[in-house]
Amino acid sequence: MVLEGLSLVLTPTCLSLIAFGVVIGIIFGSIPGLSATMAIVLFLPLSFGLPTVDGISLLVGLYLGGISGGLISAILLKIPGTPSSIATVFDGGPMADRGEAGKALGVGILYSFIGGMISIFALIFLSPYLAAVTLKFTPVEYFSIAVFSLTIIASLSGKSLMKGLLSGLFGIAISMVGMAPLDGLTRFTFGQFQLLSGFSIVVVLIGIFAVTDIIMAGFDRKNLDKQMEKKSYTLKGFGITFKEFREQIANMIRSALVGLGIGILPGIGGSTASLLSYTASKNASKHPEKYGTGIIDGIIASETSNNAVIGGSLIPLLTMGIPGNTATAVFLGGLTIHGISPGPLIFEKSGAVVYGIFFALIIANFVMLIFERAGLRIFVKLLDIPKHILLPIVMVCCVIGAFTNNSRIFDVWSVMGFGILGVLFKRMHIPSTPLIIGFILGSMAELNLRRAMQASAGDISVFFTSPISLVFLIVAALSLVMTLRRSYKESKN
Amino acid sequence: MGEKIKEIICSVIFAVFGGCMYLEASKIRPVMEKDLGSGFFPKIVGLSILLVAVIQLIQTIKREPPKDKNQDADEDTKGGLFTIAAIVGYTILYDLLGFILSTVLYLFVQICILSNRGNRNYKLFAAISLITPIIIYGLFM
Repeated sequence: MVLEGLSLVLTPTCLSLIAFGVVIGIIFGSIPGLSATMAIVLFLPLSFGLPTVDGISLLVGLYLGGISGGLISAILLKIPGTPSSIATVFDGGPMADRGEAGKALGVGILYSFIGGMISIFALIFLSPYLAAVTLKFTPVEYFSIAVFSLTIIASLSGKSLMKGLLSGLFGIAISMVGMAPLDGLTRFTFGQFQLLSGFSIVVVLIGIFAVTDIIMAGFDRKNLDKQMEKKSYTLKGFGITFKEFREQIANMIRSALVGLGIGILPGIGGSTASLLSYTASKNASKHPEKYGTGIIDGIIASETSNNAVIGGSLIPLLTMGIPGNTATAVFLGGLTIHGISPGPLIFEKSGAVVYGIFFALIIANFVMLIFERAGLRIFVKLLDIPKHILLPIVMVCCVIGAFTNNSRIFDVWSVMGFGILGVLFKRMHIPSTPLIIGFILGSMAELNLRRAMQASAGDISVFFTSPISLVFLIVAALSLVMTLRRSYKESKN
Repeated sequence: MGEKIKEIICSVIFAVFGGCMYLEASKIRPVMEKDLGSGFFPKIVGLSILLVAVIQLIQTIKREPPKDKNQDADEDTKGGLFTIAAIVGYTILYDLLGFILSTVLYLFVQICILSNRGNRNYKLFAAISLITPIIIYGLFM
């Protein structure tokens, strides 16, 4: 069965489709607003006419490329190409500012590959066991994960903890616009039907990161050329020495496990994985104060985990037929159309195809590594394009991304609104990253808090009697205390 | 406007926002049994915003006003406002003229706004404004 699967993938057509899928996926991933899901949706009809493994391999390439491409714009433009790359901006952006864009990209690409490989091997060898473990996760544990991830707001608040908290809480507030979870009651829509579905993460991300930057460039247009001084760089291999690689092994393994775990858990997604592993990495680090200033540790944490989500999210999909995120939901559609029914019997019924998918994933990961590394010089050249030309083009891509999200002009207006909000935040020296974190995690926290309380008939002790939940809450409390202590010390100094 | 006044206004806005959110959320009643209700979480968030904003306000009032760094002096207000106007115009035209025409106009205007006398090259700007939307349209639309 294994060899049969391999032979299905090792055909010129299939290999070309994987390469094509990865390249298109990277392009979609690197353009803010366009996502891996969009790429899969667009090419899904094309895959119908292809033989099963060829069609699925194309989708695999698109999925992997789409997630991996996000790091390019996250590092070069400080705009995450996909929500999964949000934490890559924290350290990738400052590194690019220092003229280390090549190193940041090289490290990001390498660890995307490693994260992907770890999760693919976990998918191949451990899927049934891992799927069984994650079935133990209830809303109680989900809520505690959200609380733990929210503690990163405190450490990303910059000089003022209060302003960071306000920003994070404001993000949570925005996430509550529209229909409430569970009962579907409308909240804070003020009679506007467009607000019923709330704001999409893509819209908030583009507005806060991209549009704000473009408007700020307008306020600072006198200095745009000064910022454009060419930053030379030299890069050998992937920009990481063997010593650095050795030092990062613990960070890499931890981040891959976080990504894998989050990928398996339905409904969380790459953005939370990226934030969670960044927080975990920062908490475990001997030099947490350096995070956010441009160190490879942050990029490694983010990129390893968001790519590990890929294999992780395919575990419940293939073994139980449960899609963990929107991309895998579309992927599930593709499998079903090709007559494959994911579930416990998938290995017996469609063994060769499943092994074909595994091999396609491995090949796609190598193609991603080769293509992104080979294109690194071209990507870095992006920084040489004069900003007065580059930024308007980025704005156009953002508008397309916002519009294609739901095919409505309201999202374009929202993007603009969030852009202006970002400018006001900058004026008031309020960090905007906590807003995004609050927005991503707020709805997850609310949904699972309500579910957990409903299931326990209002008994709050469930959060402390579940061992997994308790661990997350203790670590969250420790993380918060450590950050507050550090912040107090800094303010005293 | 002084930095301290700005911070006070900002805290007051957040406090009002938090208060309004709390009041609005208080009107939401639970519709399911054993449920916290859709108003519970917004109430907590609204109250937290109010609380943090009040602490921030007190801290700002107590604090000595920072020495005026006059950061805004070097700022090009016109450039920023023109950029906002160009983006608003683009959004309006996007709906009226469609992608290609509105993008051609926006790109040209925005590039002109962000450029300066030293690097202004209208022919190049026009060429970029024309070619970019066509390539993007061909690729994604």
